[in-house]
Amino acid sequence: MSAARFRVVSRVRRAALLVAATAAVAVLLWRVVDLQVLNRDFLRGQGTARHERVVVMPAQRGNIVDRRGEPLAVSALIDSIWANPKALAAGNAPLGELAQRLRVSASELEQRLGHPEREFAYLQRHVEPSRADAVMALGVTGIYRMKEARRYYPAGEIAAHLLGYTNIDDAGQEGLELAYDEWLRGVPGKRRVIKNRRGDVIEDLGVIQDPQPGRDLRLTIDRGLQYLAYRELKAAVLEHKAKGGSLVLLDVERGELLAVANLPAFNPNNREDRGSETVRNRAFTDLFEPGSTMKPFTVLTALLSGRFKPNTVVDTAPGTYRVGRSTVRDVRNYGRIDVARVITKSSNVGAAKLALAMPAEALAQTYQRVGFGTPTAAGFPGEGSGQLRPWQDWRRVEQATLSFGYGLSVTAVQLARAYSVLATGGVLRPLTLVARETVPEGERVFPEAPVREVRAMLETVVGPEGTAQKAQVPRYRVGGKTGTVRKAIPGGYSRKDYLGLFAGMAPITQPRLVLVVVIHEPRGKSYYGGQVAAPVFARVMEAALRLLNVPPDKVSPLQMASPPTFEART
Amino acid sequence: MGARLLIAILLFGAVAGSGLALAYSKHLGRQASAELRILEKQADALTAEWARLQLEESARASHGRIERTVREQLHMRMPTEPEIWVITP
Repeated sequence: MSAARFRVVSRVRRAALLVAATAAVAVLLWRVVDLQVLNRDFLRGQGTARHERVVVMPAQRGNIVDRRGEPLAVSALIDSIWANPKALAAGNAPLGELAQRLRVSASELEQRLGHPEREFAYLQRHVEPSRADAVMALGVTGIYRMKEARRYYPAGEIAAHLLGYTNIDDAGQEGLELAYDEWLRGVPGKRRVIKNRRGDVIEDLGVIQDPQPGRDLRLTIDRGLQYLAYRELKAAVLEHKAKGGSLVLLDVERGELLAVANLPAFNPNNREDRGSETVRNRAFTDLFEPGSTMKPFTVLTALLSGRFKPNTVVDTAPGTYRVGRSTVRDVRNYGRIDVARVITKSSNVGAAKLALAMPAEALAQTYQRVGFGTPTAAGFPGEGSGQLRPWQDWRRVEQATLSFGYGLSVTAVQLARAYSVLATGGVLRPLTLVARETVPEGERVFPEAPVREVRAMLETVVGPEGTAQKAQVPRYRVGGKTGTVRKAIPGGYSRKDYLGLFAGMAPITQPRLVLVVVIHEPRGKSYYGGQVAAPVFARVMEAALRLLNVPPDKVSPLQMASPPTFEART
Repeated sequence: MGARLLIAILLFGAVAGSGLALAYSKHLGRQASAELRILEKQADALTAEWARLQLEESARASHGRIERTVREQLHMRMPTEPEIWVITP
């Protein structure tokens, strides 16, 4: 290294370089002080205003459809108006005009805006598009519109109790919307964005998680049958000035509920129309004493014991029967009748005598095997399980009254399930409201022969000597049992409040459908099950058999021949 | 010297090229995400439309409405007993 290489070229040039470098450093230092000390607060505020945010992407709730895929509950998007109170407070917004277009009072609007430090407040949720347009047309900074999901129930009051409803945040509150909330509800997604000071998205940094839409729920309910059932039930409730009613239509071959109707009803599309009295799905939740509809199971027990045949004679004279300190009464004295006529005439004395000739355990076993005392687990929330006291605790009089349906309580759906065991010839199949892939085998709980004999007795009930001629259905042989039950009130039974019942099945040769009709507190001229409930059975059953293409099993030969005007078209 | 210069020029070219490519791909990314947002909006609109149409169809096909129309406008009625024939195969 020789010193010659560091020869100074120019002093001026060196000085200039030095000054320039120092000036550059000074400028940089000043800028640092400026940013870090003098403008710190302003810049920090600007930074947070423009920073990255994670926004939620709402997931669509699944629809509820009937067995044919017809929509019963659909989510659609609707406008909601929200405000950024902070931004609104900064400008001078025409609040009076805004309140007018929102159709709220000025003080109400102020209340909704809340604290001016907040950045989000709903002004009005679920507004119709025209009103949202009117509000947005004001062009106020700090007022925004967003899309929110709203649930619509196209079937309205007809299936209101079954479906239930969601709250304003799209979460299930009642009925199947509540029971299957997990299934219907989607998983909201997330995306990262950069927002500007006014809260608008200026850059999309990508999706963190895609929203997963909820799944659809397919029911076993048939919307057409549900409509028919509701219409006929409503007509009967109005005609008989009743307090309410329930109806359960069951496909026994598949264990599927085709229609479950209740009154009084409510409009699920109207949030105001939701009282606790009307919202309850009575068919699932309300317990009642089944009365005479219980008798077929008493008779079945008698037949199963082998000691009775359908033609075994029971002496019901003189129409009353003392058990301990109580007296069992018939409507009139039927005298010496056979077991089948105990059902036809609905004799309490006959049923009580049969029951007392049987060990309590045998009766209890029959009642339990048809499912009394256990919920149906068809998928409805808040289902009643009914009450059946253990047979060890039964007193003699209790054993007698149980035989004609007092002293235990059931739901309409439980009663339908019990009758389905008679319809299938002794097979108990789990019920469902939600479509399932395969039909469960079911469990054989009784041998077929005695069940068939009971079924034959049920057909006599709608015959010329029975209590329910009004349950007859043209072209089909049907069977069933009436019930007229005094409502239990504290301290005994009401003298004026009744329950009119009919539980039946068709076609009797090979039952396909079971239908239970309950009319609560009819106040008209008649209150007997055979008068108030049986006609509903006949009308709904006829329509259901026709709509489901069930071949008739009772056709006069005259109408069987092919008329010449019909020609096969290919 | 010539070889070094050549390498330097090549590297400079590569840096400039990759810089431009980066800017361009960023641009493409923005365009794609803008397009995605438009498509998502369209998808949302279509879903909303679908729900609306389902509701409308369901309202028009409601059994109450069909029954009224059929009885009042088309004057149809349920066949009475002697009019019903059962055809056996």
